[in-house]
Formats: sequence, structure tokens, C-alpha cells
Amino acid sequence: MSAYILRFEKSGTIRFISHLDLMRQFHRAFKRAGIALAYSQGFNPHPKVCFGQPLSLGHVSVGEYIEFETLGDHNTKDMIAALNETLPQGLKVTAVRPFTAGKRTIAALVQYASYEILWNGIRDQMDPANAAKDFLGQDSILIEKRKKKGNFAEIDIRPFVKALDIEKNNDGLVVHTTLAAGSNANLNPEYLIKALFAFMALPYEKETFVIKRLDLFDEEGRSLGETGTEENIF
Amino acid sequence: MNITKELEKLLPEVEKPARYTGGELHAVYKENSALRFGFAFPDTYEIGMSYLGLQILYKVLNDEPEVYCERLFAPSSDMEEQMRKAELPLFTIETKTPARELDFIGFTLQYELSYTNILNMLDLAGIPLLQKERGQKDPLIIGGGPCAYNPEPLADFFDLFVIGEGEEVLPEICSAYIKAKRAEVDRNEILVNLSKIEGVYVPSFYHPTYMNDGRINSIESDPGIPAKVMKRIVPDLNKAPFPLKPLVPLIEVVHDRSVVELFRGCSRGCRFCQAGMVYRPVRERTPKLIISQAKEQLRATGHDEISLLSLSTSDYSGIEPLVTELMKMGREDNVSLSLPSLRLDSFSFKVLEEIQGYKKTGLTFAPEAGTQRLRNVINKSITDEDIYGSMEQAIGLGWKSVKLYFMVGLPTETWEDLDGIVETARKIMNISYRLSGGKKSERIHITVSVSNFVPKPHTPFQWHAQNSPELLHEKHMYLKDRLKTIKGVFFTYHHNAQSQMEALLAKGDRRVGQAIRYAWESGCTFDSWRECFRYEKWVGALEKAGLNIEFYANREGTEDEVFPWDIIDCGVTKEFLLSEWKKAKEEQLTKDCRKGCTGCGLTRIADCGKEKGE
Repeated sequence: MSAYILRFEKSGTIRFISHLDLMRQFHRAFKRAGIALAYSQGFNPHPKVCFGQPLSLGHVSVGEYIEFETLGDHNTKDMIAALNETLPQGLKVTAVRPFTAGKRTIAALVQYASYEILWNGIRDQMDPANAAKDFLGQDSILIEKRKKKGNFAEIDIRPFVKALDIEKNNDGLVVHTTLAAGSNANLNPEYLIKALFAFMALPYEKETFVIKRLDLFDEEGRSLGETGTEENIF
Repeated sequence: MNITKELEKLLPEVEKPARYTGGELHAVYKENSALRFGFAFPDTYEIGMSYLGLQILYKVLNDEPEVYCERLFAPSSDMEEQMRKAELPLFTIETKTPARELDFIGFTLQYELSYTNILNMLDLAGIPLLQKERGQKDPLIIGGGPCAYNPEPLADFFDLFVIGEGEEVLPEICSAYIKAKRAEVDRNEILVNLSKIEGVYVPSFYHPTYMNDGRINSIESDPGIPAKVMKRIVPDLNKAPFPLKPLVPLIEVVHDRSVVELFRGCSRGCRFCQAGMVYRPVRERTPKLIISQAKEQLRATGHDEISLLSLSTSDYSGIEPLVTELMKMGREDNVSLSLPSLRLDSFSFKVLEEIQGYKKTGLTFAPEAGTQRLRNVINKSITDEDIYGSMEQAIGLGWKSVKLYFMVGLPTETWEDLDGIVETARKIMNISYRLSGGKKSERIHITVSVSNFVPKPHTPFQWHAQNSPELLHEKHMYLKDRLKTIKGVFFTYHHNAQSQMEALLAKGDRRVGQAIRYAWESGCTFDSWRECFRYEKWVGALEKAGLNIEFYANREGTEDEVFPWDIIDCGVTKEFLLSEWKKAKEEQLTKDCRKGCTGCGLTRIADCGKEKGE
């Protein structure tokens, strides 16, 4: 058996499928590509595949990861070609390398995610660099978050924002941010944008944003693509 | 209007937006085709994409070099609201083309309670609902599928119907249309041309007249138009087109798996079953072809499940070697096998044991009626020994849950027949106690699921008066009271009014169309979804149309009755159906026609096969 990690992109209208549906797409793509996955033992065998971190429906990404085990040895270049040949439009594998996980799965390694958020909105006289500084300078950033039971809770998202940078471009604004991600703490960038736009007194309309995830990082700030025990990186 | 651009604004606002985006594996994209066809499924994407007929006809039409077939589905209510607000017309999934720009929109008629969705889709498309109000530039609206065997309730809304199997007739229609379009023939003449094709019914060329009591007097066809339309069949399934690269949805759909079709038709002759009558004769695919189709489909889709489709899996003549081979294939490639409508014999148990293994999810079993007498009436050839023998085997093998399907409201049904349902459940529970040595903790879980019998056209029971909703309710309560005394038995039943409306739409005539329209105008859509069904609106619509629902659903037909669907010849003759109706009342069985021809009339159009004992 051999273990690998792959990085992929999600773009175009396929951004509207959920994480569960995305996983199904990859399971099927492996089958179609003739890459036999190793299955777990036991009563309910399932393929040994682990995704880095779910991406919200509607977001695009250039930095998603999957670790997987195959029955046989594969040439990584051939795997990239075979998968890209059969994946539906909008999903694209950009790198594969052998990967020996440590004690934890890649999902457990994820601590941060970086995003690029485009807003094609009005341009005004505001100074984006200062806005970011002032926004982060607050003692707390309170947002209302819907709980599973349907009621709302007020939470402080300031501790979840590691970095924030805003620039103007021809069409509107470009926001770069690094946010807590993973099972310990996780902040959906939509909440950040909502709070940020309220702070800047700009209108928040969900459909006017393009949210792109750039990469996932472990607690030491290493890209997931650089983790594992192997020396070689993507 | 750029629909793609407008759509992107709406998608973040709706549930499951990938229902509307397309981009699935094996979706077809073509440019500059002479005929553009919209295959329309009048329900949501997840339901439509689970339907094999869509996959077959999508392939058949797109294999035609001059035809481009795309898909249309009913948008869910949240999407509909957004579309109406943004004035976005109904569009094709593939190229986001407004439906009204197509040449044909072909609705598949799978269940009667989808009819209001058809009107809603036409309205969303901006196409006049009534056939007579449509002009040269509007698409031709075509219907097909099982409900087209009584097309009359929809007659005013459709330009034409295809009766029977579509694989051959649709390409014929397309080429006739392309020819006519190139010759710049007007709409009515196109319809005249199309009506010459066997299996095509153009309702505007037929004119029913009525008697004072409301029944049909006669149905006259225009000069030169056939008096009766014979259904189409594909004579040899081994030569029929079959999708080896089916569309693979990006989101989970109801049946998310590969499918191979073992055979069409059924020889058993259950008298309640429309499929058993209209899909005759039995035509099998060879095991070799089935296996190669299964392999190719799995390779092309990456599915991890494959299902065998037919009306009665166990009746496939080479079922044992076929299933054994498919299971071997499945073990090698981690593909599971799904076997619907399996008869519970010893081979089935062997197979189910292997498929379900330790996680025995549950077993379904359909005695349909509670007593031998009533099973004779419906010609369901299953005995008490079959039922209890297989249940004993199932419980012995470790199954913990069984679901039993029955119908209520069958012709000649008495309270003793309902007692028989209770007795069946009780005896199965007693088997469970006996095998577990009386231990309550080992007791099995029995679900008794009762559906309301809906008489359907082209069956021996088409003359039967459906039980009133009140009587059905009384029967449900009768069963509920008695079944609740047996511990471990659970009881579920269907919505009475919904079943009555289904009977009305199944057996209705041309006048019912007006009520469908009123129901839709008052807000009815997705009537097959229990939470969306609005009985009071339907009642209001019928009242407004001046129709009496009991006349259609709850009245026994006379022997000489002219039915609205008499203009359709399904292959089985009305004489045969009537003799079966009489035999039913006398509790006489009719044998499986594989064991000898029963004279249903099908030999007029098909060779039913000499190996079946003729």
C-alpha cells in the first residue's frame, strides 16, 4: 500500500456542491481513473481517504487537500493526469506526492486557512489599509451566530482573525485574511466579511462576494502541502 | 437576458443550488443543431435524475446528429420564487437556454400528481398553457411515459403524446419535424404529419362527445387520422440503445447508482397492475449483454452501487448465474448490488445474506392482500405457505425487521380481508417468538404499510369504483385498532384524499384538464409531496370546473362504458381486460402467460416468444 497527498482546486459553478457531494465526486473519480484505493478493515469497509478541511458551499479554492492510500504504487504524474481527465469541470488536481502522515490526519493538522475575497462594489473615499488596522484594533468583534437549535449567540471573532489586509482594485476591494480553521476553532470568512463591512459602513450582500480559499496551514504556519514526514514538498 | 449571469446571483440564495448549474459528467454540449429538444421532468432534479428513462432518451436523442437534447426540471419552490422575482424564465440545465426557444419540450408523465408542475413549468417558461393558444414560434409540447396511456386530462395542454416506448419513435418524430421545418410547413400541418407516425397521438384531432349522464358517448377522429393509436414497443432489447455513459449528478440524488435493465414487461398478470399490462410483452436482455453494460457503466461512472431494473427481478430466466456473476464483480471492485422486487425464495435469501451480511437492514415483502381469496381476486399468485415459509427463513437467518406491503380498497374487499392483514402480521410475529424461544428482546420489528388502491386505465380493475376517502379512513382505523394490540408491529398508511385525486387524474377525461388548471392557478404544485398537497384547493378547482370527483373516482364503470383512454391501444385488448374483471369477481386465477398464452391480444403486435410455451 502507498500513501499520497494531493492538492486540488475548486472553481466555477461546481463551487455550489457541498462537502459531502465533493467527497463523492473524488471517490468516483478515483474509481474511474483506475486508482484502486485501500479500504479499511472491519464490518463496514470504507476507502482510506481524508479531506483537509470542508469548504463552504459557494466558495472557490486553490488550496484543498486529500490524503489517501492506494493498493498499488502509482506514478504521481500519471495520477494527476488520470484524475484530471475524469474529474468534472471545475475540479482540478494541481499536485500529488507520496505522504506519510504523522500520528494525526491532515484534517486534525489544520489550524488556519487563508482567503482572498473579492468585492465588486462601490469605490469610495475610504482608506482600506487604515480600515483593516482599525478593525483589528478593536478589543472584541462581536457577531451573532446562529446555533444549531435556531437561536442566536453572540461570539467574539477577534481571536480567530490572524491576519487581515484590504486593498483597492479597479473593481472594488480585495481582502486577504488568515482565519482560524479546523476542529478546534473555525471561522467562516462570511462572518468576518459581514462584521468588517458593518464596521466600514458598507452594504453586505452575499452574492456580491467571491470568496477564494488560498491554502490551509498547520499550527506552525506550514502549508498542509509541506507537512508529513517526507522531505520533498510540492 | 444573460441567464447564466442572472442565475449566479440567485444561486447563493437557494437550497441545493447545484440542482440548477449542470456541468455533470457526460452532459452533452452541441452547437448548431437542427432541432432542440428539452427533456422535461416535472419534479425536482434529484427525482428526475434518478429516472433511467431520462438517461436512455437523453442518449437516444443526442445520438441523432441533428438533434440536441437538454434537460429541464421543476424548480423547487424557493428557486421558483427567486426566478419569478428576477423574471428569469425556465431554462435548460446544459446551456441555460430559455425553454420557450426550443423546438420541443417533452414531458415525461411518471405519476398523475405531477400534472400541476407541468403547467407551472410552461408558465415559468412563458409558453401559453393551452395548445390552441400556442403559435408557430412556440415549442411543440409532447408527453410520454406511463401516464400517457390516458393522456386525456392533459389533452388541452399538449400538442402530441407518444404512446409506449420512446427509443424508436422519438427519432422518427425528430426527423419528420426537421423535414417539415425545412419545408417551412405550418404548425398544424406538422402535427398532421406527426400523427401519421405509429404511436403518436395528437389530441386536437380527436373529439369526444358526452351523454346526458356525463359519460362519454363517442370519440371521433378527424378524417385521415387513425381512430386508435397503437403503442410502440422496442422488439429486441438486445438491440435497443442503452446509456453506457450516463450522466453522473454532482449532488446526491434519490437513486445515485448505475442501473442495468434486465427485461421489460411482466407475464404474471396481476389485475391491479398497470405496468404489468402496458409494458407487455416480456423481453429479456441476454446475461452477457447485461454484464458488459454493467461493467462499462461502472467504469464510466465510478459508482459504488449497481441496481437491476425490471418489474420482477426473480422472473429473469437466468437470474441465478447473472446475480452470482455480478456479485463476484462487486466483491472485486467494492461495488454493492441492489436487487429491488425480489421474490423471497431460497436463492434470494442466499443472495441477500451475502449482500446484507451482518447488517441486515430490512426485508420488504408484498402480499398485497390479507387473504388467499382476495389474492385470487387480484391474481397475485402467492400462497400463505409462501409468506410464512419465507418469513420463517428470514427470521431464522437473523433479519430483525420486515416491511409488509398491502393495499386496501381492492375490489370485493370485506372486513375479513382486513382481518387477514392483521392475522398475517400476528402469525409472522408468532414465528419470531417461536424461533427466539419467546424472548421479547429478540422480537422482530414488523411494519405493515398499507396503500390505497387506485384503479388505473388499461387494467382489469379500470371498471372498479375506488373506495371513498371516508371508507378508506374507516378501514385504516379498523386496521390501526387491531394492529396496535400486537407488540412490535407498526402501521403506516397513505393519504386518502391524495389517492382519490390520483384516481381522478388517472381515469379522468378531457374535461378534467380545466380542473388541473384551476388547481394550479390556486397555487397547487408538487401535489405528490404530501406536505405540498392541498385537498381543499383541488376541491375548489373541481367545483369551479363543474366536475364531480365521485363520478370519476368512485363510480363503477359499465361493461359497455367508453373510457377516455379507449383511443389508445396498449396491446392488451379491452375484451381481455373485461374477461379478467369478470374472473376477478369470481375469484378465478389466470396463469402466468409464460406458461401458456392467456390471449391478452398482444400477439397482434408482438411475438411473445415461443419458449414461453406457445
